[in-house]
Order: sequence, then C-alpha cells, then structure tokens
Amino acid sequence: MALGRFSDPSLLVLASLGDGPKHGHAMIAEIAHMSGTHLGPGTLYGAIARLEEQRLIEPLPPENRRYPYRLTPGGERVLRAKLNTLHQFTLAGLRKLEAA
Amino acid sequence: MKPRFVKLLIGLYPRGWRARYGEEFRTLLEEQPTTLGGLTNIIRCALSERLRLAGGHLMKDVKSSLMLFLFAGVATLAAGANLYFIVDDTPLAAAMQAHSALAACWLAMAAGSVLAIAGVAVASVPVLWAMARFAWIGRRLDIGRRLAFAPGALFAVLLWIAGVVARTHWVPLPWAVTGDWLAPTNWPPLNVRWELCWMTLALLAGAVVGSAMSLRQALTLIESSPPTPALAGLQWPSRRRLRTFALAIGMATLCTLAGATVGGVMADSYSPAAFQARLGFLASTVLVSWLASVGLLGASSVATLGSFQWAGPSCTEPMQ
Repeated sequence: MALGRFSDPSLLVLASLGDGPKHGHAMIAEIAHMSGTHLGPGTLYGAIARLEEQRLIEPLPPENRRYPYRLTPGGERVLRAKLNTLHQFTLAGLRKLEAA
Repeated sequence: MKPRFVKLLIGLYPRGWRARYGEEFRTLLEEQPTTLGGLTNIIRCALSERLRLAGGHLMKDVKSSLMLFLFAGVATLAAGANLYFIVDDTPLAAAMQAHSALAACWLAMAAGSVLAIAGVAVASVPVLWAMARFAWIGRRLDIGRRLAFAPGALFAVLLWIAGVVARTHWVPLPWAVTGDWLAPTNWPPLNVRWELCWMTLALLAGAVVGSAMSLRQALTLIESSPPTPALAGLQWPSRRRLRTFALAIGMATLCTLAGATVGGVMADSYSPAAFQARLGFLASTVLVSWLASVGLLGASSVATLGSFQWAGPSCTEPMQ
C-alpha cells in the first residue's frame, strides 16, 4: 500500500540511501520499491537540496553523467532516530489495535 | 523526456538552483518518461524554489499566507468587477442569453469569484480579529492605527464616490467615462469625467497599496513584540488550516479563470463586434479589458496555489 500523503520526502530519500550511495533515478526506484510512493523528480530534488543544506547527505563525484549521494554521519544518526521513533509508534499502534 | 523540453523545464528554476543542480537534474529528467504528473510536479517545485528565493521561507506562515490571500481577494474582486461591467448592459449580455454554454461560463465565473472572496474573508477575518484583539489588550496604538488604515481608506473611497454622485449624478468609475455608447446629457462634460475617474483610481490605488503596507507593518510589529501575556494569548491559525484555505481559494480562483477564459473565447466567436467595441475599462475594448481580467485572475491563482505549495511539505519542508 502506498504511504501517499503521510510520507515525508526527506525521510524517504534518507531511507533510500540507508544501504549505500545512489543517484536520483535509483533513489526514485528504491523509494517506489520500499514504500509504494512514486516521488516526482521536482520533489526528489527539493528534498535533496534541503537535506544537503542541512548536511544530512552529501554528493559524490559523478559516474557516467549520474550524480550519486550518500548519507553523512549526521544523516545516518537522524535516519536511525526517525526510524526508531516510527518503529515505537508502529508497535504502540498495533498493541492498541490488538487490545481493542 | 526530450533534451529541448528538459532545458525548458529546468529554465523554470532559479539561476542559483540551476547552477548547483541543473546538470544532474537534466540527466535525471532525460531518463524519465514524460507524464502529466511528472510535469506538474516539476512546475510546482520550480515555483516553490522561486518563492523560497524570494524570501518566502524566511517569513512566518501567517504573514505570507495572509498577504497572499488578501492579494488574491483584491485581484479577484477587481477582475470580477471588470468582467461584470464589460458585460452588464452591453450586447454581450444578449449573446449570453442566446447561448447557454456562454451563460454557463458566466455562472462558473460568478460562482468561482464568490467562493474565492468568501474564502479570503473566512481565512482572513479570524487573523485580523486576533491582531486587533492583541492591539487592544496590549494597548498597542501603533498596531491599532495600522489595522485601522484599510477600513478608513475604504470609507474614504466610498465617501468620494457618494459625494461625486450627489453632485454630478454620475458614478466616477473607469467603465463609465466614455466608449462606444452615448452619455446621458445630465452627466458632467467628458474632460471632467476623466479627471474625476482618475481621482477615483488614485484613491483606490492609494487605499490598496497603503492597506497592504500598513498590514505588513502591523504583522512585523507583532512579530517583534516582547513576550507578554497578550502575545502568548494570540491565536494564529494552524499551518494545516492555512493550507486548506490556500487550496480552496486557489481552486475557486481557477474556476473563475477557466470560466472567464472559455467564456471570452466563446463571446469573441458569438459576438465579435461587441468584443471589439470600446465598452471596457478606461474606454478600452472589451478584448483588452477581458485580457486584463484573465491576467489578474491568473496572478491570483498563482499566488494562492503558490501559498499552498510553499506552506506544504513536498518540496520545501526541512527534516525535523
């Protein structure tokens, strides 16, 4: 099921880079695979620009006209913290459903 | 996507953004299939980047949204009044009665205008009320004076119009000076009508510009106020509420714009002579007046939908 309007483009981009550097096209594919959300190219680069401003991701030298990005140590920390919060939230929500 | 088309799309982004991301964005777009959703996304995000560059990201949500909503309200009101006067009591009204499609366009335009202006009023009144309450509770005369400017200016314009009507039996509006019609004999001479009309326009322009400046100053004064119980009690609308209003007002303005655009094209084909007649604003042709209204409505739509996009998370919101 797609996350749709409940998805955060910045979090999706960070998560797509969790297992290593990727360029824009690969990020879109990975995000679609992970969450079912198709990120538009404008949204992707909007998120990339904000994340780079906040030094959560950084660019790598281009490879065959493609420009990969990777997580910075700060970006990895933020991603981990966000995912842990979401995990706790998910567990709490499921517990409530089971208790109902 | 084709390279030429990609170049055109990237051209929509600000220069600084293009210098940093243009090349890699081009590579990405060239690998993407052309879809309507993709195109809309790129145009929306390019607009968002431009608004960020214009300083929108530095301003408070309320300040930016309120100013954009009020601009949209004034623009829609001006465009709607202009369209009304170029149709009222002209051959275009007869064309509208004869063609139901044209009448439907007019109805869409009228409904869109009313909804947009109602939306602006519903969105703005609580904010203005909160500001007035803050000025009253905090005994802030500097803010109160600025908030009072807009109603005072509106009252002055209405007083001027009423005074001219009482003295000359003529309403000093820019659609009633001259044109392809006969002026009643009890009206003042043409040169006097022009002078009085320019005076109305000058008063209106002063009222609109002065009100915008005063309101902006009042918001800035509130923003820079020291923390007091009055400031803590100031209730601003939520970000979500502002976004909802921006979307609703933007859609209503788009409905008006669509009605005006399609209606204008139809009116030109059904009644070409009336469309070229000098029945418009400041004795211009209907075509020129219609184009001016369509332009105003377009600007109003961009302002409100831009506000929606700017306040939204998809292109601009940083990671918390």
